[in-house]
Amino acid sequence: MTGTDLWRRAIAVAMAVSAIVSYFLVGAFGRELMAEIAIFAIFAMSLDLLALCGLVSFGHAGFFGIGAYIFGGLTVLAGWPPGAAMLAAIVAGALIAAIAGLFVLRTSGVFFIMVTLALSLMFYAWAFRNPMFNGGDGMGGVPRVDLSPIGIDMKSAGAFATVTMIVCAVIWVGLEIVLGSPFGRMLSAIRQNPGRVRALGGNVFNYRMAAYVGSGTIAAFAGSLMAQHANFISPDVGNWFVSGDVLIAVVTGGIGTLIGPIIGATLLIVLKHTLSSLFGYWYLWLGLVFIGVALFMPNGIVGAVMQIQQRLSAKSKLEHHPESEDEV
Amino acid sequence: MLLDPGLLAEQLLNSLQLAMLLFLLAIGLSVTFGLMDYLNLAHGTIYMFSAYAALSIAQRGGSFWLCLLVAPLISTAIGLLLYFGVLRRAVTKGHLVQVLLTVGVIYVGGDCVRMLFGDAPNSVPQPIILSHTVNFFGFEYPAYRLFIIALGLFVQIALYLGLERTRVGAVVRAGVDDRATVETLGINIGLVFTFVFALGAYLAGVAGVAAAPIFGVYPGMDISIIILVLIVVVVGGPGSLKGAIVGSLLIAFADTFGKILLPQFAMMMIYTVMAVVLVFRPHGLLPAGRFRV
Repeated sequence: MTGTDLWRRAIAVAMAVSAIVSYFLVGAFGRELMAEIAIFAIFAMSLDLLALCGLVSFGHAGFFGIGAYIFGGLTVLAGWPPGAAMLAAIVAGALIAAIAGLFVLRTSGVFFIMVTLALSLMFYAWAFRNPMFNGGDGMGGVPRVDLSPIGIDMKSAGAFATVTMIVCAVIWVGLEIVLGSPFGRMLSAIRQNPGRVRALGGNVFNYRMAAYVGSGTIAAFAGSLMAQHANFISPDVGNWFVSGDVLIAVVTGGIGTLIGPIIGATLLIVLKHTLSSLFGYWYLWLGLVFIGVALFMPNGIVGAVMQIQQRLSAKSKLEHHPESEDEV
Repeated sequence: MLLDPGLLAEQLLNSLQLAMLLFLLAIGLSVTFGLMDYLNLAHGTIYMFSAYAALSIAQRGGSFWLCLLVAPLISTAIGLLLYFGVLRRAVTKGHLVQVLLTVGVIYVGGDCVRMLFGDAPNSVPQPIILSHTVNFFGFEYPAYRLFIIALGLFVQIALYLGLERTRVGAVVRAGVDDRATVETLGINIGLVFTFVFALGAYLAGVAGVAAAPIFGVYPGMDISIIILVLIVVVVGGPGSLKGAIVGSLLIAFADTFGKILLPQFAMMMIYTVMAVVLVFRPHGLLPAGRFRV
C-alpha cells in the first residue's frame, strides 16, 4: 500500500466518523439530507469508475434516470415488489450500458463528453413526452424497499439514511478493492496512455467496456435509490444539469480518488441547501465556489490534501537528512 | 404537409436563419477548442451579456443599429476581462477543470443578469427598416430574418477570406494543426489564442444582438443555446470553418424539420443526428487536421 492509499483511507475513516456524529446531531430533515448525500455519493463514485480509464461522461444522469424510471414504473404501474424492481433497474442499467457502449466507446475526449450528453438527453426527451409517466410533471407514489421482515422501517428518515449510508460504504469498499486489483491498474494504465496499453497487447476497448457497464450499473442502482428517497420520479433526474452536478462533484472532490467524489457530493448538496437558505441569488455563490476550486485546487480537494502531505513528507525528509540536498 | 411549396420554402429559410445564428456562436467555440483544446462553456454567457447590453441600449432609446454596433464590443470587453481574470488560468489544466470553471462562470453570470434585469423575459424591437415582410412567390417572409441570413453569409465569407488569405489566418490554421511546431517557429501562440478568443466573443455578441428580437432576452438563454452550439461544434468537427458551417446547417435543419415532422420528439431529432454522426465519424464531419487521426 502506498502513502497516498493510506491517506485516502484515513480521509474515508474521517468521513465515516463525521457522518456518524452528524447523524446524531441533526433532525429528521438532516437525515433525509444525509440519505440524499449517500445516494448522490454512490452516483458520483460510479462516474469516478469511468473516469479511472480516462473517459469523462457528461450524460451519466441518463443511467441515473433509467434506474429511477425502471424502479418507479415497475413498482407503481406494474405492481412489482420494490426488491425485484431494484434488481430490474440494475439489470437494465447494465444492459443499456453494454449496448450504448458499443457505440459511444468508439469516441473519446470531448466527443465522448458530447455523445454521452446526447444519449442522456434522448432519455430525457423520451421521459418528458411519455404519458405513461405523466410526462414532464413526473409521477409520485414510488414506494421504498420493504425491510420490515428484518425489523427496519424504511419510511423513517433515520432508517433510510442509515441503510443508504451503509450501502454507500459497501460500494466504496468494493470499488477500493477494484481500484487496487490488476483490473483497476489496467484502467489507470489506459487513462495514462491508451496507445502503450494497446502496444503491450491489452484490449483497451474491453477494459473500457467493463468500466462503462460497471459504471452504468451502479448509476442505475443509485437512481433506483433516488426514486425511493424522493417517492417521486420526473424527467429532471436525467436532465443535463444532474449530469453536470455529478461531474462537478467528482472534479471538486478529486477525480480517480473514490473518496473524493464522496466528499464532492457531500459538499455540493450541503452547499446547495445552505446557500439557497441564506441568499436569494445563491447560484452566484455556488458559481464562485466552483471557480475557486477550479483555480486553486485543480486536482480537487483530495488532490490538494495529498499535495500538502507530499510537500510535508518531502520537507521532513530534508530535515532528517540535511546532507541529501548536496547529493541532489 | 411538406408538399406545400410555400411552407417548405418558409421552413428552409427558417432553418437557414437558425443555422446562421448557430454558426456565429459555434465558430468561436470551435476555433478556441481547435487551437488550445479549451472547452469554454461560458461562451453562451457572452452571448447573453451582449443581448442584455442591447436591451439596456434599446431601453434608453437607442436604435437597433446602435445596439448591433456597441453591444458586441461590450460583450467582447467582458469576454476579455473574463479571459484575463480567470479563464486563462485553466488553459493547460484539461477539460474537466475547464468545465468546472466555466460552469462556475455560467452560474455567476446568470445571477448577475437576474440581479440587474430581473427574471422576466424581455425583447429588443426589430429595426423599423426591416420590420416589414417580403413576398416570395406567394408567401410572406419577415425581412429581419432575411437580414440575419445575409449577416451570417457575410461573416462566413469574411472569415473564409481572413483564414485563407491572410497571414494571421495562416497562423491560426497552422496552430490548430500543430501548435508545438508553430511555437517553434517563434510565433506567440498565446497572443494568437487571445485574438481568436476576442473575435469569438465579438461574433457571439453579434449573435446575441441578432437573436434578441426573435428569441427574446431572458436569464437562461445562455444555457439553452450553448448545448446546441456544442453539438454543432462536435458534429461539424472542431477547429475548422467548413465544419462549423456544415454542422450549423445540419443541426438547424434537424431542429426545424424535427419540429414539423415529429413534433412529439423534436428534441430527439438533434440528438439522434449527433449520435449517428459521431458513431460513423467519431471526430465530426469535417474536423481540422489534428482531429483527423
